[in-house]
Amino acid sequence: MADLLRQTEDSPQLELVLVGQSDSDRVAKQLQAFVDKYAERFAGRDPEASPLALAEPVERPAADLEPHVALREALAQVIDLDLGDQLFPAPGGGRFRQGLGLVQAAAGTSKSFPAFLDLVRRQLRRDYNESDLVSEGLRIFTTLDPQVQWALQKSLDARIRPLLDKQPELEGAGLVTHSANGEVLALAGGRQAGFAGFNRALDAQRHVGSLIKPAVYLTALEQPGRYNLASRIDDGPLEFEQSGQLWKPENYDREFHGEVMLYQALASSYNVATARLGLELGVNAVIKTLRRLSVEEPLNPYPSLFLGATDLSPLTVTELYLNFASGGFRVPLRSIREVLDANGEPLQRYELSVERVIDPGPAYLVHRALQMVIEEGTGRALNGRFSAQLGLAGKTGTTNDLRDSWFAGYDGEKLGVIWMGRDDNKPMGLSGGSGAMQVWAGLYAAAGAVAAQPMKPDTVEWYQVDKLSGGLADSGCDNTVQLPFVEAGSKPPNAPCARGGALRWLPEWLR
Amino acid sequence: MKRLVAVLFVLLGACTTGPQRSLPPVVEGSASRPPIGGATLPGDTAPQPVEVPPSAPATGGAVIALLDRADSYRASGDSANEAAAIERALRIEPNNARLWSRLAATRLEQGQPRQAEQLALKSNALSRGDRRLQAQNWQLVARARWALDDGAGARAAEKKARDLGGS
Repeated sequence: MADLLRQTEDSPQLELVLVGQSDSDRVAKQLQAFVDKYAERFAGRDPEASPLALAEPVERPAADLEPHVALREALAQVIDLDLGDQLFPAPGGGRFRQGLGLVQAAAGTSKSFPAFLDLVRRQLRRDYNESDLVSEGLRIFTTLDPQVQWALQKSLDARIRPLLDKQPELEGAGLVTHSANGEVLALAGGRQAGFAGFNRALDAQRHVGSLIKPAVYLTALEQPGRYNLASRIDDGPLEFEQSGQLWKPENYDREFHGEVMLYQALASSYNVATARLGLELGVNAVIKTLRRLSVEEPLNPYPSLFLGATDLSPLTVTELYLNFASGGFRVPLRSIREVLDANGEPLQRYELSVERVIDPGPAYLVHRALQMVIEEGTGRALNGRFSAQLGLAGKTGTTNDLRDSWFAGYDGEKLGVIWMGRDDNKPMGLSGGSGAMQVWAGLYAAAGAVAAQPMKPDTVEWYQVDKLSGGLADSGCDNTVQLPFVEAGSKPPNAPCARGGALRWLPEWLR
Repeated sequence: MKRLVAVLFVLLGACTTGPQRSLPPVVEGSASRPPIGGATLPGDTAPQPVEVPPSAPATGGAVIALLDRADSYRASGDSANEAAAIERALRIEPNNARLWSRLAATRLEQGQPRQAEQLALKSNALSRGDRRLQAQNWQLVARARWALDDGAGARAAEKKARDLGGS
């Protein structure tokens, strides 16, 4: 039988093992030896340096960097039911270990991250017999990123702990995924990291509130002849009869905002304008969009769907937002990269796959609208914490009487979905912005945010739009916003302030 | 120069056709984002192209090492491991259009034309105006569609490759 932990000369790479208890000692010894060996090589480094910075594979010679990457990957892959405590019994043992923060991660993979393991097990059970899993000593390469996992858990804890006096039942969950390849980097199933109970990230079915709105706006923007980001929508009082009952949607601030631009209605999360837009489009059209974006759960077939009166899990919300974060490609979620048998032969690869489900134009427009949520909408509090240059995008969600607090947001690399609420579905006093979004901010501040640089499709052009009138602007207008339009689609008329402004476009020497 | 002429054309056209035609797109080329903070154009000047973000970052050492590995797998005819090495590289540089294109080509050899097509489209979505790469990707799409018995789709893809200057 091959070694449980295997190294090759050219690339020190540990492979993970799902071992039975009897093997734990041997594995622990080998892993310890591995860590010691590489500890020497990093002895000169600043122990306080961020593990991510050390492992960052940018502009370093491959030879210098490979061990970091390999070690980080390797430790991420250690999954064993009873291994954790035995690996590194003395906390704060070595300088290297403290510095990299990897020891915690390795030791915690089984004990502290049961929720992630839960996802791995489900994927395995789907594909293997239970008996194979127990007896065969499979090697399983997972997608867990310990640093991101710890950042998620810590941020969740930091937001919830101070509130527990007043809200002892407050819970939270979260998922972080790599936008380009769908790999799950971190998963929190509840407030307590090491507690293997109800996995809210996978199993909590909760009203999603405004988190559903991008699907409504996408449905509109996929009809570029009819809608664009500057289209006027009425946010005035609305009454609608739905199966004998009168439906009167209200805004979060209990006010109506008159005519607003389509992007503003999403950025500021206006319910009435969204409901009106949804009614123009029809419930079936929005359901069809959601189905195409891989939402498989039963959906509320009434107009209140437009405002998120339907239950989804954080996992499904992640799948939904991955379509936006990846530029319009559906990316299946994966928690396992590869499964090897005891001899190191690959049994199964979980290959990266993608599928275009949103045309490039509308995908780009929705992305811009989700950026505007952060720039000037319900997510603008993030601007105090993150540079505008990052181009972060996201959406808040709050349900009736503050029962659910949601935030789904992404940078250029990863998508994070956070939920907060109570298991008994009672109000807990947090909105999307005051709860989940702050957890998200803590997570991205710790894990690092990467600038989003989506490529503008050829079918799209940017225009300046007058914020007051919603018309196309020129230098005669003071208060403008830049918005992308599908070139072949509809555009707003000229803004009043643009009249006569044409000549002012001319450079000095031409006048 | 070409762009200046184009801008002038639009500007001059504005004199006769009113403001609407005088509103050229604010961003030209492959720029992806507008200036931050809803910046307005400086008054009385021609529209300025928004700062173009750097194109795909230079490929780092780890990725080059992984591509070397992929090449050696390729040489030994092991396309499964070749694909796995490219996937690893993509984890490090997820916005590198060339890596997506390479993975598309490998999937085609693995007998997965449907994925090859989608991966080539993904590569194009990240290609930032690299016409040669785009042409190459459309050729991959064409080959994938032939493999899927989609003759019309394949010919359309071939035409796109030709229009981009590919053979």
